[in-house]
Amino acid sequence: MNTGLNRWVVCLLLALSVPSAWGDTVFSFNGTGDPIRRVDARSRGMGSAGRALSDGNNFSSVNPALLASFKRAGLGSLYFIQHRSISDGSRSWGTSDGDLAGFHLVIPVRPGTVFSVGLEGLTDVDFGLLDSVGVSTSGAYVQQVKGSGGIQAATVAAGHRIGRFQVGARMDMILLGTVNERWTKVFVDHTFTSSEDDISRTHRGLQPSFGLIYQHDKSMSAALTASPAATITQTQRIRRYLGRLPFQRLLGWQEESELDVELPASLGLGFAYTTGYRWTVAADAARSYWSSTGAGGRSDTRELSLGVMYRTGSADLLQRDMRVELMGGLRSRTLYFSTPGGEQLGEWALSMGLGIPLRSNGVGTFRTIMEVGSRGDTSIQGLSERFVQVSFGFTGWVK
Amino acid sequence: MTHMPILIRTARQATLALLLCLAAAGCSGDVLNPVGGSLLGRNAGGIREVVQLPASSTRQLFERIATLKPPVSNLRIGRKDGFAFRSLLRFELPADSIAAAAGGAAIDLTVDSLHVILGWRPQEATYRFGRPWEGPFEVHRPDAAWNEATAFFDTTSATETVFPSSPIPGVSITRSDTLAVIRLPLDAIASDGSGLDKVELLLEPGAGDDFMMASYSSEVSTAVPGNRRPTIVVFYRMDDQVIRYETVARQDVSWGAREGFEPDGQLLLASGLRLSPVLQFALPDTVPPNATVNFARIEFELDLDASVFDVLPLQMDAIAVSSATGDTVYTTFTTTTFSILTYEDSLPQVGINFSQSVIRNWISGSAANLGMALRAQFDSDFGWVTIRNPRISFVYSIAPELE
Repeated sequence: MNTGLNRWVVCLLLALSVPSAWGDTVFSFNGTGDPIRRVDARSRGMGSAGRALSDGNNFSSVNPALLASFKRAGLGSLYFIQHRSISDGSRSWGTSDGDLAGFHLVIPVRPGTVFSVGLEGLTDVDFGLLDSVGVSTSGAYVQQVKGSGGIQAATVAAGHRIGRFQVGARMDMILLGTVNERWTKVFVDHTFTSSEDDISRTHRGLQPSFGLIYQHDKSMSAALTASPAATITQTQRIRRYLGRLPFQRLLGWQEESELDVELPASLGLGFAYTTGYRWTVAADAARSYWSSTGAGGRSDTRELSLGVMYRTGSADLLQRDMRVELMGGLRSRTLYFSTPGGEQLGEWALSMGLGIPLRSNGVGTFRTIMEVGSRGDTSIQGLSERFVQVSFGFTGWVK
Repeated sequence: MTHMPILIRTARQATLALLLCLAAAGCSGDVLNPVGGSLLGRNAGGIREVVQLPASSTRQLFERIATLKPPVSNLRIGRKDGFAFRSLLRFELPADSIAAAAGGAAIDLTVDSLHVILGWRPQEATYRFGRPWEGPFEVHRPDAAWNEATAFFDTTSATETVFPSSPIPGVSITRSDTLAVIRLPLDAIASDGSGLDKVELLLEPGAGDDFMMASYSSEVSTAVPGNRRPTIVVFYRMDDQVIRYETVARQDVSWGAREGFEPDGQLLLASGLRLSPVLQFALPDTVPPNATVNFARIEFELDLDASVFDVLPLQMDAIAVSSATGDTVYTTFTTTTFSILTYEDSLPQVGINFSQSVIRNWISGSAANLGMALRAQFDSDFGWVTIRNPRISFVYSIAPELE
């Protein structure tokens, strides 16, 4: 297969693949899901830092001002697989999942002005529970709960360079993505028909975000990002089925209602420093104001990220040397979910990554990132989760 | 650095293969996690039961009386629950053929004796003191024309046809547990000079306590040991010869007719008569309209002493009223069969699981709770069941709490 065909196949697959669940955490069931870190594979390898890393190679959508640094059209995408181990102190359970997280197409229209369109997840729900519940004279039944999906958005963004400043704005058009819940009660005695309640939540609305980067010199830059709170409309559809067999599902009936859901305002800061070619360090801090979203039991969140990248090869414009990226980082964040004890959940992760150019002349880069981390504390929340996440990122440049 | 081209090519191919595979089939773990029940911040909804809810009202539905169409295996005789059951039999005696076989003419034949033999079916009889109770019956001569297709019920007026008959004097009946031998007077033979004589009988229930019994009909299979079709045995004399002639009934039919039937206070499920109990259950207000019903069962006692059936297929019908026509509409939701062989005592508890959708429709309001009817599926035989103390139980699950 030649390189041109490869590129078309990859682009077609990415275009046809609607980004769906970003399998994230068992804690994501209540609420609108776990907020997805909107960073590209390279930032993910650097502990999710990179708001200010404006080098024309940063596909992170967390800061739309990054777009202004792109000099050629490109496509960025991300895929991941992860394994989670969930423990309540006495029992543990392992689960694996994975999916396409999103992609962005970046299109410079003139020097210093760049547009972008993309499709990506904003939040994710990934929860499964199998619980044996005893019940009076009807016999035992097993309750299954499965939550999946998330809020997704088609995004349009623009970045513009003005002297040492880069500004950007992004609009998340929340048209896609559904949060699905399936509650099933299956009786041990098969004389009893199981029941199934499906709840799906679709969303529509808009949320803008803004970014600013100050490029002090070629080595140092700082960034500020902000998103105002937004209210989106959630349509709830509840389908109840008499059993799980196909003919029983035909006997289902549906209820529908609408309500407003608030997405939080957020603020972020970033800092990046590069030695010129070989070393780059970045640090980010962000805060989201979930406690103001109207739903009870939620907490504001903070996220701290720190990362470093080392590049082999040289700053040769013709790129005759192999430019391999080695990344490392760590991050810490808190989650907004309410837990039974009311304690806020914490999460930390260590990451490392490797980026390999697809061709020596810079047609694109393949990156693989491994993150190891933990969220929750069994002694506090009664549950904890350890995870190993491997991300695969692909960036390709259009000649 | 000499390995770089190989590394690059490998990475490129790995990327493409990975995206091809994973984009085609995103992977996720479908095996559910048993850990983390404490994270369910919402009420998952539970399982509730309504146990042994008695019928809030009952009534007896009478639709029609069927004329049993051949083939039927039973000829019914009796009087029970305000209904009388009668049977008609016709035997044909080809006198010309009988005489010719003996080398004579029909005019030379004289009848010496005339007997009709019926085979009883004890399992189809009412019981008394633990034994089949076959009550008294009378033998009449039908005074109107009939055949097996005669309708004994006028569906337009919902009334039974009065069938005229008169007692045959001089009849003697000898009975055992499985046989009845009816000795008829010789003038029971009707001859119209055509050479084909006939003997027609109407078996009429006698006075006294209710009873029900059945004899084998002419359509019953003789391949089954013990089955005995109604037979006439005639002894002729021609000159000094004695000729024995035996033949099975040419036609026979049974029907039932109301005789002071009072529907109140009874719950009869009958085939042939089309009696159907209609049961209504007032569901408790505590059942939420959006509950899913997981199981439903109706239970009642079968009063076998007041029932007569061998096998009785029945259906359970939801009752609705057509908004267009105002007619009552029956929709079958469950079928089953009562079989007498299933029961060991005289008042067995019977339970029938039925479609939960009926209860669900009632509680959700998608169908008015007009009750259900227990109806016979077929009218191939007369049979009925007396039920007592109907009640339903059902299990339902509460929907999970919305966020």
